[in-house]
Amino acid sequence: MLDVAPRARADAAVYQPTPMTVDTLDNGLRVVVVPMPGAPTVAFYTLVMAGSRDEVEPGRSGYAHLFEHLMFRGTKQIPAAEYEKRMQALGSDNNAYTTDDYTFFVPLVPKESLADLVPVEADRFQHLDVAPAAYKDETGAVAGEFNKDFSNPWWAMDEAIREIAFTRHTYGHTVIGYKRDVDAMPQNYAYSKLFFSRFYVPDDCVIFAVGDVTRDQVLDLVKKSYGGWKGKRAHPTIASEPEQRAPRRRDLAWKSEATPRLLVGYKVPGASQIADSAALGVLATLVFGEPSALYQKLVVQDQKVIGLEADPDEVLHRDPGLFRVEAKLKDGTSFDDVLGQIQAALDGVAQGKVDASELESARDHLTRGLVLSMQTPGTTAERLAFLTAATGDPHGFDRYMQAASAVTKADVVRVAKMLTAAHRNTVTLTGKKRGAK
Amino acid sequence: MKKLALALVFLPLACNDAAPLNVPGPTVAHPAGASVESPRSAGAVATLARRNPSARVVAFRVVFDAGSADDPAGKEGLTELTASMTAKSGTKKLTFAELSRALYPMAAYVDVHVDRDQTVFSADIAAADLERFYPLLRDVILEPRLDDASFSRLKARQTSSLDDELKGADDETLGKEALEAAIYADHPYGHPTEGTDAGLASITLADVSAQRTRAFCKDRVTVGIAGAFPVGFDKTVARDLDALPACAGPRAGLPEPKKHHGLRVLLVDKPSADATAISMGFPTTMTRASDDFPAAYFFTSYVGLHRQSAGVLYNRLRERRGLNYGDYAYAEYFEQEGWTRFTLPNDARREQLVSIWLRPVKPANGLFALRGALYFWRKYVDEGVPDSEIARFGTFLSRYSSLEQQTESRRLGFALDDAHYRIPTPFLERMRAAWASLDSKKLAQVVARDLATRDMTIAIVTKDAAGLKKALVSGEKSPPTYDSPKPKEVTDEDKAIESMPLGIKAEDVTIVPIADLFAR
Repeated sequence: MLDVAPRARADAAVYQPTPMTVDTLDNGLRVVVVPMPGAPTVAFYTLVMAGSRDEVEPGRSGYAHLFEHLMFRGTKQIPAAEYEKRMQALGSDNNAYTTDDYTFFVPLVPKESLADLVPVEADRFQHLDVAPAAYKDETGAVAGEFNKDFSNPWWAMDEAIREIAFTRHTYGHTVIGYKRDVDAMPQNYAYSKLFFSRFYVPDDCVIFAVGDVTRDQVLDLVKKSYGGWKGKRAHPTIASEPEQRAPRRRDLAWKSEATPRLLVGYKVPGASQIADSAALGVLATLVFGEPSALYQKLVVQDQKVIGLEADPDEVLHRDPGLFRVEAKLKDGTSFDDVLGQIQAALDGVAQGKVDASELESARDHLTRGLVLSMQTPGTTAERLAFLTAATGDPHGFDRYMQAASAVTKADVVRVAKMLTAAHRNTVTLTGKKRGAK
Repeated sequence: MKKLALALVFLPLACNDAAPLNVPGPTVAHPAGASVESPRSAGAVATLARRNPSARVVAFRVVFDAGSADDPAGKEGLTELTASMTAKSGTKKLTFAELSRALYPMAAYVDVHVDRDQTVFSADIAAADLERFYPLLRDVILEPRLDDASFSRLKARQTSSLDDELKGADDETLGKEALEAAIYADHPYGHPTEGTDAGLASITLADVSAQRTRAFCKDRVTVGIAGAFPVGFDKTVARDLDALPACAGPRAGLPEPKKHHGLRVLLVDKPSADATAISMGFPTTMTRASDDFPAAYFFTSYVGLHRQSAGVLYNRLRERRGLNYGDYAYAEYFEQEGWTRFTLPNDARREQLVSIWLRPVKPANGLFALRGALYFWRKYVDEGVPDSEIARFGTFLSRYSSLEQQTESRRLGFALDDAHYRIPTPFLERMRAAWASLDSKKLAQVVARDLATRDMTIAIVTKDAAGLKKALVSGEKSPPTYDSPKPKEVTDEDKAIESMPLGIKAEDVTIVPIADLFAR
């Protein structure tokens, strides 16, 4: 099943390869089944391998996310109100979310509801039918979501670092999109139909069925309801990002009082380079985790910084993306001081200053944390889908775990050199002074 | 009762036999052989153990009946800071750095959550890690380091959490906290767990040490353990935690929230708010322990189940009108666990509130959305829910509720809540049984008793609070603005909503500038 032979040290008491099967229907739809005997719930989740990365036309940011919403608006056979009633009858926790690389539909149901859920899911993917008025209502909900999010300064910083780091690639815009594009959505009904036709097709989707199910049971249900689904994924050209030749920086002034914030991004390879992605994950855990020398100095001893984090998941993107470090500074701390210390910590690793036991601890932290996060059918399906979208391979999670478990000192030194050679992208945010109008 | 004071030797675990954590094994909600002990039964501290040998994890939930309501006057924020100092300052044996290093390879954290009346320290670990993890947890609870350096670090973090996160970066939560501030004025529930600017500033390290003894003491703790722990381990934990300090005296009681007639409004004036956040509600003596609770929970779920499209408010305000991102209603205090859509366990309260939460709306539609929420709430309060809908929604809710308890930790959390409220039947079982026999008549009786009040408190975070106050007290119509034409049934309904009398007078409205909110 695995095409990467595990090196010996993976902790067998905590992690073993996922007992999953992958089948591909004639129309290209892939079906991943993970049996979890005794689980009272079943995750029957559908991954659409299109996210904000696939929004290639200028002025059209945010449409992958808009479609995440529109998929709840019904079909001719099962209109929205009827869809809602049916999902309620199944006892479903019904939701969805969108990322840079994919859109994920996550209905979770008690296991006895699975057989009735599959045809309802299949119907909306094949026959979505949103009238213009309902389309406009949903764009209002998206605008509401934008307003909710942008009371938080991190959203503005995310928008800014993408803009400076990516001048051509679509990672240059956020998942929710620019405000101007969100505001224009009500007028772009026709474009939304084009977007749907490009990506909501069987060979762009992967179904994950996790729970007290068998492969045969799931395949029978899926073939019956999805067998007639037709279409091929469009591949609009996503501009590749030219090499960055100088550091870039943007300083934002926030509209109200706010603790100063810092966001740093270094260009890194896409997750097809799984060994690099895994080594970068371990590097993030090693250099920026709570026990690290940098964290202890900045946050615990000197107390110049209130929070410091580098999320290992951030590097897991389909195309070359960013290794991100974020920090919240105490008032009065200089951005350049913190930037200098972050850079020095990465330079140190690049120069080979790596403690063997700290490396082992970081590696265990990363892999064990992932496994601990997968206790339910839903969280298991979400992690498998994330790595599927990033790598294009349904076995992506196991490949990542094998690679992460095998990361050596040479690996972290190699990827740290990659970061120190890359030109840094920096966004700072400063709030208004207390009491200032 | 005689306390056991044994020198305990920790039982080594057969780590090599532990199953891989991520390879799915039986996941049974009520595993055969699970032992559940009633709290406060043994000689040691109260324990609730749910042993499930086939689980891959061990989950801890150490719950104290202590929360921000136990903050001394003038020291608002003290319990929260004491809790984070307990979890995040290290132990007498280990500095914070050493503790972090010890926990790190296990990907283990001692999380802590403080609410008004309860504080819970929790951890999920791989079963294979129990032997090296437990002594660390024990020392964190029994012998926290509480040093100067951690104090300044964690106090700064809490100050940032209050001023920067709550007041600066999260208008949705700010609206909910403003609602509690308005309902619970001059009441121990009236400030956020983070405290107030003045309260937090005045807290010293000595205050923290004193509060730890006062709040996190033996008679207030219940220890919950679930998952693949060895037989007898729960007793070891119970005996170990018997070393907690004895409580100095009984907990102070709570006053009744102040009564008022009709609607009253707290407007938080926040010039930088691009959207308007609205929460409303009223205090209630009904808690989860009340006989009426299952039906009341049914009703609020029908009107607005949290983050599901099933509710009336979501359907009418978001789906049909596109006013915002979602609209919900709650029969008890509700906090979402992480990124899930489910309730956080172990934040039980002695006094509860019923609330309605509207996600932010465009300022121009603020008054309309407020009227809309009241309109639909009152409509179902007054007209009731027909039997056919009760049957249909009851089926949904019974199934949906099973999704609430998918992990060892959450099952344990619910069981601890049942024990706290002294409910003998497990939560799900009790709720399902009640919903199965619910009809429109019974529901109407519960609604009349517990939910029909017209005395409601409203909290709104908005720019131009003065303008909104004027509109609120003027009684003028507040027609909505839409991006698309709406069908006649919606526009007809809108006519009734936009002119619905609110009866709000100038003296019912208080404006607080954002800088002054939670200042003292």
